[in-house]
Amino acid sequence: MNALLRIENLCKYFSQHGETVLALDNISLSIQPGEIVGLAGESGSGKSTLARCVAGLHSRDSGEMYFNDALLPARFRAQDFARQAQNIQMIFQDPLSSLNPRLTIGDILMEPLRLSARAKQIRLSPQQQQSLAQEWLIRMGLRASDMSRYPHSFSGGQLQRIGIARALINRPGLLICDEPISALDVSVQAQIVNLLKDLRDEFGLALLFIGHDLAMMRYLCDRIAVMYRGAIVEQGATQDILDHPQHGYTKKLVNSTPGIH
Amino acid sequence: MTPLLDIQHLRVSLPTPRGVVQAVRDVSLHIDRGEMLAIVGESGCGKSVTAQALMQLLPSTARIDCQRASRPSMAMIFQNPMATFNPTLSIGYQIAEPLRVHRAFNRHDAETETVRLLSRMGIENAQQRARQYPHQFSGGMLQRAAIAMALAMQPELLIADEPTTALDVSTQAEVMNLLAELRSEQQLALLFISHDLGLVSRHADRVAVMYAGEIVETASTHAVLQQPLHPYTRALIASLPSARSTRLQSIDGSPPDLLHPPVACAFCERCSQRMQICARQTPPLLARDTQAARCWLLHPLAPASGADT
Repeated sequence: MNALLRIENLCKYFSQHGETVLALDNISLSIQPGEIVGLAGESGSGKSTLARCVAGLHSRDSGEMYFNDALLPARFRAQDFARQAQNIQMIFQDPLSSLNPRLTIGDILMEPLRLSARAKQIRLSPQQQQSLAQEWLIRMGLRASDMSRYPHSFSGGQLQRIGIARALINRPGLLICDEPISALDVSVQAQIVNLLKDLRDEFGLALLFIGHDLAMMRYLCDRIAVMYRGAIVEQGATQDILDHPQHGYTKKLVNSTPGIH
Repeated sequence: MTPLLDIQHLRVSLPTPRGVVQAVRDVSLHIDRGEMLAIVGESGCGKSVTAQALMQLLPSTARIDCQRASRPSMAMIFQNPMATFNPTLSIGYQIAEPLRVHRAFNRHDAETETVRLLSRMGIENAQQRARQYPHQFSGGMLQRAAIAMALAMQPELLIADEPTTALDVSTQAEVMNLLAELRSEQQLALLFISHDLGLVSRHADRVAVMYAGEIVETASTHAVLQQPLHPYTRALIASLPSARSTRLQSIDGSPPDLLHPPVACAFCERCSQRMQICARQTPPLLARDTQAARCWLLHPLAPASGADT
């Protein structure tokens, strides 16, 4: 089977105060359709930078990235984003700051529908938009009447589900999750993780899941890649990585996680 | 032996624009010298407000009632070590300040003690580090410096409010090990506030589970995790992933609004083993062996699996 996303020898530099920092060091990683790949590592190891490169929010300096065997541009222009938005979407750690506080939930969910219709040059009536948005809201466990409410009146777990609805409403193949549960309570974390798993089973959605909770990643992920100082030091099937870590950093990470055995 | 900290029937209400929030409703706690008690619970359950009431950090508008309180000397560390320090003053100056003001150290002795404290916390080149500013420290180092500052006043009890939530896993383990060392070395008592049951299981002697401003279960860490008595504790443990889990259990519904706290059991609406009495009368803290939970299921007349309705 062909990979959904294929990253080959990706490098990314940042310059800071005249110094050049290698933020991503020769990254190669691929994700199959319907696969959940975990990205673990400490803050500053480059997890989020990699996620942002995949989403097109950062340009890359060398290497190639393919989505469904089509080469993604090194630097995204406006029309590239419009195309990319159909394929790859992202959810973030702080669900409140990723939703526009001045839009109702209905507007937040209908905006991607409108943009996608424009990119594909098709017409989507306001009624069609409304009913699609409502359908997703209900699928996420919220109520149709929530369409007219504003983000501030929802709890963290509800906001994250709205973020997921917005990301998936155009049915992308890949969802990048940048620490989507770190800010949530444990019982709410369980709800979100169960939801992500169900969506994978229902739509064959692939996930790139960034986290630092190895116990949760053991439960959720098919494969795990461990990043350290901008490089992937180890990747493989979840069980192999967590039960028999080879790299010194992975060993340290596994040993410092309480209760994953 | 009398416990170091002993609080009986603590109640805290906080006035807000929407009304008075009864954030803590009848909490009793005790901690012995050198002991580590963990308070666990979800956001908004009152665990931080309890700690702030103990430290007298609540605004003057807060109403605090407590039937009995014996309080040792205490210090506190917080979740975000960056916000603990003043960004415009050196780390060393800020650790030395309480030494000079409260313990009457002269400048030279205060500096020596600061460097000693910092190096005890595992900070290398403590002398140079003391002259640096907060932004030059990493998160883990800053939390160590915050512990040094807290210990400058030689407290008997250290309150740690989610001290490692903002840190990486490997840094988190280092900070937790440091706290464990300080406990055994100085007989320091710890009140550890967390929502991470994994961390609690590895470090705490006893656990108090809080829900909607009340302690719903308390016992030794082993007992709470191995045979939880309260349905809420059981649900909380079931929501954690383990090597065996095929599907995580989540708790349906949401905690009650503490502007209008429930008259009966606060967990009753979300409980799968709810009985008729649960919606009518607040359960007392009922004991079974060394464990106690605020749940009618522990009453001798209750059916074993509950749900008599």
